[in-house]
Amino acid sequence: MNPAVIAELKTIVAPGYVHTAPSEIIAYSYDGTFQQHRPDLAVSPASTAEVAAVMRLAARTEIPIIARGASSGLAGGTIPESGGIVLNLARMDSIVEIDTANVCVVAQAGVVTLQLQQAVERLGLFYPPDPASSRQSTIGGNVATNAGGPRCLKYGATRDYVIGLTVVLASGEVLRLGGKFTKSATGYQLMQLFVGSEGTLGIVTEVIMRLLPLPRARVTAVAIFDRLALASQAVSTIMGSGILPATLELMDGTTINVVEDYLQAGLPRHAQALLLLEQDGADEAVARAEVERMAEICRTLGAERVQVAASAAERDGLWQARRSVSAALGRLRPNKLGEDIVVPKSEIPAMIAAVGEIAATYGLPIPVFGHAGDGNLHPNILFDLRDPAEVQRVEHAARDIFRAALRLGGTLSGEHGVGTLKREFLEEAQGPLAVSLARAVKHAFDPRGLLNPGKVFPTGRGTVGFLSDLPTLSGWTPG
Amino acid sequence: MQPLVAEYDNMLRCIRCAACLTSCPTYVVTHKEEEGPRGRIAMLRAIVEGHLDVTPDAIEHLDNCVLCEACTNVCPAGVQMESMGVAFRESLAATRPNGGRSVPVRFAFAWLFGDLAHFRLLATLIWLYQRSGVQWLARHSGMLRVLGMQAMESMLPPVPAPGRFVVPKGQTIGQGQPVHVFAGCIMSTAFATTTTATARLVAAFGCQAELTGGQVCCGALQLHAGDVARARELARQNVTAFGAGDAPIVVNAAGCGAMLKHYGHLLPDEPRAAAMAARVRDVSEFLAQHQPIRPPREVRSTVTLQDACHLLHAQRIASAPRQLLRSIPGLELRDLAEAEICCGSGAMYNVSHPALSAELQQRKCASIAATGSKVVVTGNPGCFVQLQAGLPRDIRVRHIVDVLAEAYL
Repeated sequence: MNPAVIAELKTIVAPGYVHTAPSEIIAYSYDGTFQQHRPDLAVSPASTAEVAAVMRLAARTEIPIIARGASSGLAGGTIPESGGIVLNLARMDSIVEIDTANVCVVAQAGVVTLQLQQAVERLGLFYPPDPASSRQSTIGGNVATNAGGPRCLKYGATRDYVIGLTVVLASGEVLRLGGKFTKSATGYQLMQLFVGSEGTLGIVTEVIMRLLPLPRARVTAVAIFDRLALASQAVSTIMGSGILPATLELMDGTTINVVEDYLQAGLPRHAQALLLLEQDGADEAVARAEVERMAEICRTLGAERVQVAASAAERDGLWQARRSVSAALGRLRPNKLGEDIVVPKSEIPAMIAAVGEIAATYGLPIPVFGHAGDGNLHPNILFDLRDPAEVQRVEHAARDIFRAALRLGGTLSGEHGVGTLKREFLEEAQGPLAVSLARAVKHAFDPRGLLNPGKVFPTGRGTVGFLSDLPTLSGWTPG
Repeated sequence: MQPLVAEYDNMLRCIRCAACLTSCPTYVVTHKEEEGPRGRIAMLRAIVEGHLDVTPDAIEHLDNCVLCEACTNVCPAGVQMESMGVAFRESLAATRPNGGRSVPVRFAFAWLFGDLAHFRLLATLIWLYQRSGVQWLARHSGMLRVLGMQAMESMLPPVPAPGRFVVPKGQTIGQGQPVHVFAGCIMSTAFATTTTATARLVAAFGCQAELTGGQVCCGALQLHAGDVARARELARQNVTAFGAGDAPIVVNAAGCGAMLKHYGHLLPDEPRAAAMAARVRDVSEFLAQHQPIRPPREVRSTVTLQDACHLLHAQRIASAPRQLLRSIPGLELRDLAEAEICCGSGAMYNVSHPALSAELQQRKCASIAATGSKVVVTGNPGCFVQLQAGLPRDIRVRHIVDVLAEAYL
């Protein structure tokens, strides 16, 4: 990196927040996947003005900018695969305002999701999107990936709560969109373009989110099945029964066992599937009645055991089990590829069956869990990156999973984003016309391609080798 | 770098999910990835894999780790941060003459901590210093500032008269199930009254407390400084002192308790070590599992509890101290925000890393003040001293044993 650029960055941010030492470069080289590539440097700004100043410098010197929050993403979205400057937004962690009259919250991009939720809940308000990473993920990252979570079944994803954004554009100009209002028929809704844009259109530095009243009652139940097919049938039946549960989560047998190894929470090791059902609302009796109806559906369909959580502690135990899944799976094999496909609800049994066949075909463990109620499943392919032949099989398995989801009328990602991991399949998912329109949008906002280059869009290298082409510190992934 | 290489599988467990970030004291105050557990693991892995040299910046970020174990406790993938941090310090020390330790530190590790009698001698000197007017002179003459010892000197706890030091030589108190009391170096001198009260509390809960002879310092300071050989020596002496048997070993310093529970890993070739470690109980853990002989007296007080990292994270004890405090009539226990974040005391973190430590101290003290309690209770001498130095005069720090003693003795 040009020393003049470093010197100028040091005039923009406070001392100690331009990260250039070799160990620091390593620290900004990864995300929540196995990928790794060194940036040229990283910088941690403290305000929108500082972000804008960094961006103006980058625009002038044509240096790529990769914005990140906690970099806990699961799609490679914050891997600085072409070097450049990593923009660490974690310092911008102020909750600017909780506006109870307008039922909204104004937060900087680096606010941790759970901390925002706890802050608004203290005032009887509710921010529903709840990615499993809420303990570490940031609001900015949630906006960039349109993060979801179990509660999105009933309440919708991050997109449904964003009502205002402050964005630093590729030019370094600051754009303010939306505001403390929830309706707008005023021209194009540019704001929505930034949600899920993975840092490729602009850098979100501040977000206004609408809130809901905090539901006073929450009733949770767990249903155990000795056959996965029965559980997926229960999901479709519940969703067609006139109830909209707050959450409807599924874990398969492998997942149950891995979580049990980690938590010793007393999950049934022999079970092939577990459904976590929850209803919330203003009235405990109503929520409980709906949970009982869902429990009855599970029993009728042959659930081995259905248990309604009796206490808050029991409920929290069940949720801790669910939240631990993704990370606990890391204990089984050295690496995992967490997929995030979505299919129409009615196709869940077919999708789960397809994953089972793919796992058998390639001889790979592929535990499945996810937000079964909205058709968003996380088949996790477990493998060892150091085995080139295995990486090859993982690549084929991932490709087959994508294609199965598309064939069933679904799509590639429900809440993780495209990043680097799914970009080669974007045209298969959306069609060339949609992708070319999206490229035109990208060009309008970032004509010189400085913002998170290479992400989301197909590279043109094709789908063969899409996994083994991804960077690690040892060079490219073997295989 | 041999000890570090042995930690490679531990490093590979990290799946980079970032769940550790918000638990890490140095990350929370800096928001820098290089000051968080995930960053440190990535650096260590890069060092072992040959992608990163042990550069001064790497040493700084790795050494800034408090070894508070908060990250280990939240890690869903099972990474053990303390053993990695110790291996790094051990590897680094091996590359430096005399382990990179200064003459006073080497003297302290070799002589001072090797024998509790030596430690008592130092404590006596500190008592003399504090009592004789030399302290007044030192503080008012600006001499400490000149020597750069102002911060360190201000952290010295007031030492009781040497006649009150606990000298463990097998004396017992009470009747019932035999229980060893671990006296420790600082706890038997500067906090001697607390340690005496610990033995009396064990007796008041229906057991026979023994101040077991032959015991030495636990070795935690040495281990955290990477002097693993010295830590092992001390561990061996303690394993011998506490013998076989099955009597519980009660510890009133969270840091020492965590260390003693770790002896099985520290001495894999000593079969008695793991068995001894399994008998170690923090004093709160022990008392919560036993019944007092007579009901507690009323203690009118509003308190908050500061969880020591080596209790909450390293020993995973959260409910026992709360349960005990709530058993006291008249005592109101208030929740503390960010209870799981370190106060910056570390082992000697406040001495080795004054700036980061002070920031954590201020953050913790602000949380304590926000509870409105005029008393903060802790179970570790390091936290005690750190909080006392940071809190306004109207908020008192008390060891949990001293609060329990008021109710039960």
